[in-house]
Amino acid sequence: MTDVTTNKKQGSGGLVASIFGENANLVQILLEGRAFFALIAIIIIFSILSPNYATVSNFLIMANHVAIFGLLSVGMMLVILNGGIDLSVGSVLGLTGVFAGFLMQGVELEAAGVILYPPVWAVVVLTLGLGAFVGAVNGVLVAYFRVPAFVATLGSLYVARGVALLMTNGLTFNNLSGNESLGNTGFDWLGFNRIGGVPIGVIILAVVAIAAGLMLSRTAFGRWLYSSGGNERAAELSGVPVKKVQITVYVLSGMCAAIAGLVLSSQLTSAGPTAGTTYELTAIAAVVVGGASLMGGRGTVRGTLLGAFVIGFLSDGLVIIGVSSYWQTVFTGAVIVLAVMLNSIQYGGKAKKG
Amino acid sequence: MKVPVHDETPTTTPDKVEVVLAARDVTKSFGAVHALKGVNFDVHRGQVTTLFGENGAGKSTLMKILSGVHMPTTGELMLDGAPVEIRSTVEARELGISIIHQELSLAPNMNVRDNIFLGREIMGPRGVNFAEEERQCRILMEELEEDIDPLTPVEDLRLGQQQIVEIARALSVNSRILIMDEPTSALSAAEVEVLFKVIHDLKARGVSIVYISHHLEEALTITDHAVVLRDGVMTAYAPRAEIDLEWIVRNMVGENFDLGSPPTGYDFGDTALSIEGLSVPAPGGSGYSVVDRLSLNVRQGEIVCIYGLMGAGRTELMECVAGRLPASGGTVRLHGRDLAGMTIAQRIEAGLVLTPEDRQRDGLVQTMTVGQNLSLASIGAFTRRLLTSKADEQEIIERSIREVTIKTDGGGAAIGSLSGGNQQKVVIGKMLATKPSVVLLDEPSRGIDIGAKAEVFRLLSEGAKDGLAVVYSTSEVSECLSIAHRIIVMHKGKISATFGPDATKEQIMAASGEVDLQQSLTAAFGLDHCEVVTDLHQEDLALGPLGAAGGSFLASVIAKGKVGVIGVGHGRTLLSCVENLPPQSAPNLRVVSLMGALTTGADMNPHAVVTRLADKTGAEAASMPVPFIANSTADRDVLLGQKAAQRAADLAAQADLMIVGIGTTGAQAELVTTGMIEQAEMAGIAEAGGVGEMLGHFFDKRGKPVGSEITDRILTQPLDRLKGRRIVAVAGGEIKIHAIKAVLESGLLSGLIIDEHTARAIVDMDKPDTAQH
Repeated sequence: MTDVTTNKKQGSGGLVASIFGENANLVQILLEGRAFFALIAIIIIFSILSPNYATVSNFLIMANHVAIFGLLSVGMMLVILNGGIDLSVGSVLGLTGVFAGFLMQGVELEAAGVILYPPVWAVVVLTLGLGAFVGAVNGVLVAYFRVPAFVATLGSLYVARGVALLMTNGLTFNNLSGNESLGNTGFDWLGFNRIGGVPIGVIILAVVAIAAGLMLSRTAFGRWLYSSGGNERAAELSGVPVKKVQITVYVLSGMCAAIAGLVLSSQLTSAGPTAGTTYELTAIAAVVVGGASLMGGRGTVRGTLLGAFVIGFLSDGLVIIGVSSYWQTVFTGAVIVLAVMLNSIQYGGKAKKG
Repeated sequence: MKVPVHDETPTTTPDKVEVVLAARDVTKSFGAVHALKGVNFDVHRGQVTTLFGENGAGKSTLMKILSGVHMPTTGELMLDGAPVEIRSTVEARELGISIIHQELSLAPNMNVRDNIFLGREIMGPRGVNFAEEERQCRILMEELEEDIDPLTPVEDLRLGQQQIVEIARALSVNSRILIMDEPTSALSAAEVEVLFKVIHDLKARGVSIVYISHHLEEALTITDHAVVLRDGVMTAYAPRAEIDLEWIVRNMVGENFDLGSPPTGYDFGDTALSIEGLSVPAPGGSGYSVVDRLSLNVRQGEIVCIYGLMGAGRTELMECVAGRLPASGGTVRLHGRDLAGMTIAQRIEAGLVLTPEDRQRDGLVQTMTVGQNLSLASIGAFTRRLLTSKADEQEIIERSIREVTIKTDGGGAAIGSLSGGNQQKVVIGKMLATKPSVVLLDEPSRGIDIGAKAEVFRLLSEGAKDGLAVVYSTSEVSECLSIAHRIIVMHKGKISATFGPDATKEQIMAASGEVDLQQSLTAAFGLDHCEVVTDLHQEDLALGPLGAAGGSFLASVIAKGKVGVIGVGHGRTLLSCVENLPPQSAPNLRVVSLMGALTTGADMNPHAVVTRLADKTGAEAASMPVPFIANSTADRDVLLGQKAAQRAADLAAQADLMIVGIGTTGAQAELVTTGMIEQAEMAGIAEAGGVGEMLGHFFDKRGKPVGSEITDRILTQPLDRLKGRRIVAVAGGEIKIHAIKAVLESGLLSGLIIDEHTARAIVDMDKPDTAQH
């Protein structure tokens, strides 16, 4: 990993900057260039160590894994930009997966004596709605009841996980494929189909990321988010609806978690209540590795995506070359600390110049 | 600013005094920025050298060079005549140079002893030798003549005392040179006095002081030498004897900067902002209002300045009008439209904007660029449907930079790269970009240099000519008397006076309550104890706060145990004091009624006060078991001849402290309502000119005793026995203003506990020329 970091200063980040077409100044290029070069280094090292690593099919498989964390990370990044944190995303992922599975099994209305089998599109919409609802609860707790984000979302982490366990009694929904006669087939499309060889999960991640990138750089909401994360009081006095912004980021984060929940349960063709445990930590790690500041106000979508890929490609690479999963954990931790350390150096230097 | 001056002029001539530290051609560059250009000056042993200069003149850079934070780029420092390189603050400290920063560097949760020895604890065989540390700490405090216990947590100390602790810490490492950065900025007048005394003592011990202050008059009173910096250049260096205030300002500012005059040549438009009876509750739900039923109208094109001290309610008023703080009453109208229930964003939309007092905390987003900050409040103006338009945004940014003349590399520059004045212009430019019709500016000149100040004021003045209604607040009088058409003085949440642009500084300051009431009363009436209590609820008699203050006064007197006999008078206020006294055992104390204690139909007669006091303290009570007033002088003598009365009177003669109330002579006076004196008798006294009563003696407004024929029948201490005794009165309330003044004039009082409003009224009576329209 050390050669990765020494690269950062020579970084010509033109390639990085062109990925999303934003105009990036030198500081941003350096910052995100760091994650980019880390990714290149990871790919090179593992390609040398294993002939199977640098193949198109392996990249697509790894990208499919990264899609889950990537979706969570994008939502998490919005919350972190606002100066908050969302610890509930892993649990929301599990809960929404279980909820989708529950809907696929059919909803029995006892009073009417019928079992409803909602079509897949309705399952998706309802599941997204559930993710948004949990997010809204988080947002209201943080914005209006002044519960620290860490505590509010820690609470939802437990509640969402608990509800997921209650819904299944601790078991897993295994039959998600639906039934042709009931008109609810197609759920596995999300996890298994490909368009032009690219898994749907990766495409969804790309769509979400581009939408989030556009929102941040080109909409009023994006400006509101950066300003209220940078200095909430100043933003408020400038007419920014800071509370609305705060609630919205948690809702968006919850929806991202719900999308990830749908993709994951589709990939696995089963919905277990313990899915996504500790994923929130991976998501935070990706955001941090991607150069965002935990104090809020600084961070980009492409940085976060690079962070997610660094972490995903690293741990998959370690699996491929046969390193024990315990070592993976150690490596991931080291990468996170290194990233934050470099962030501090970067921001510290910038402050001195200013 | 009246600051107590220790009027010893520096007697030693510079030639004879040893130079301990000298700067020779010191320059300092940070990249292309030249912070200091060739500075030369000497610090003399046992003298004060003050650095004068505006923000950004290079004072702090120079200070950092002296204290080892920076090294000079060229030039050198001479310590005791030999060149020296100070590479770090630790080295500086070893050389005997210590610095006390404006923001104190004490750990508030730790005690004085631990703070003083922080980082260089005295180690014994079994860990830290706390006993030795404490002993040295006590010695230091004795040397500084400060009664601070080494074991007090620093957070329990007043700011002035904390500063003393910092000084003690510097002395504990044998500092010979002490650099003090703005040491008085957060101190009260009394604390400044203590600090200056300490500085004098330090000088006497041969400690040299480098002093930095924005408060020119104050610094002039203690300095021996002045060094003036402007834009990194030392413009002047002279001993105290050769300089005056004007000299300093001239050298600091350069040319004569004018903050402008009210724009003229046009008529004001319609009323733009109309505030009616606005109240803003204090935070924390304590029930009082920081802005109290305030009304103000501002017309288009008018510039209104709000002057007031800290805590006068200026910021709260502005923040409430801008929608940040909720109001507890009253209305705010913008062009006749009620703003109630509107958010900040809606108010900005409607044309009302606020630039906040603290630009770092409330004005700027540090993580965004200059341009993004400038366009932040007008995002709507460059958003087309869903997406923002870069071209439109750029246009807004460029126009703002041009109009408010911000010196920057362009919209993409980091906000932190701008100077304070330019940052302030960004905050103002951001709000002006929303095209407001009313702009509120809370201390727009805070922390920016005079050139930037003039530019900000010019900007406002031009805006007003174009019809903008401008309201700005300031705490510097000279800024009131610049561009404002109207000057509003706020005091305790209310408008205490309104002036035109022709007002004088003195008038404005007097109206703001900038007179130290305690000091004025003490000086005017020769008191040795005076306490002015804050009366937040403005009751008629201020019984609550007076009672609390009187109670704690009594408690402290009793706790000291030096008083054997306390004599008490009568009245509700006194009873309230006793009620507020925390129970406290003082079995050796004796309390005695100073007057006849028996009255009809009164539950607050002297007897009641005495018994309550005795109950609370376990003291021996001696009430005078006779009526308050006798039918004739002869009867009085008979009554006083009674054994019990005799004993009480003898005891009263020995009283070490008399605590008394003050009454009026009106028909509603307590003496009348409680039936102690008949109404007709009181009317007679009032006719004779009596306005105030204490212990049954009546005084006219000049303090002369009147109504002796009645007093002669009252069973009380004779007047001649009251002279020269320690008499402390507790009294207040609007109706008693004249009564208290009369008793004060009599010269009998040695102490007074009074509420603020009454105190102010009494102090103001002495200067009828203070115009308050």
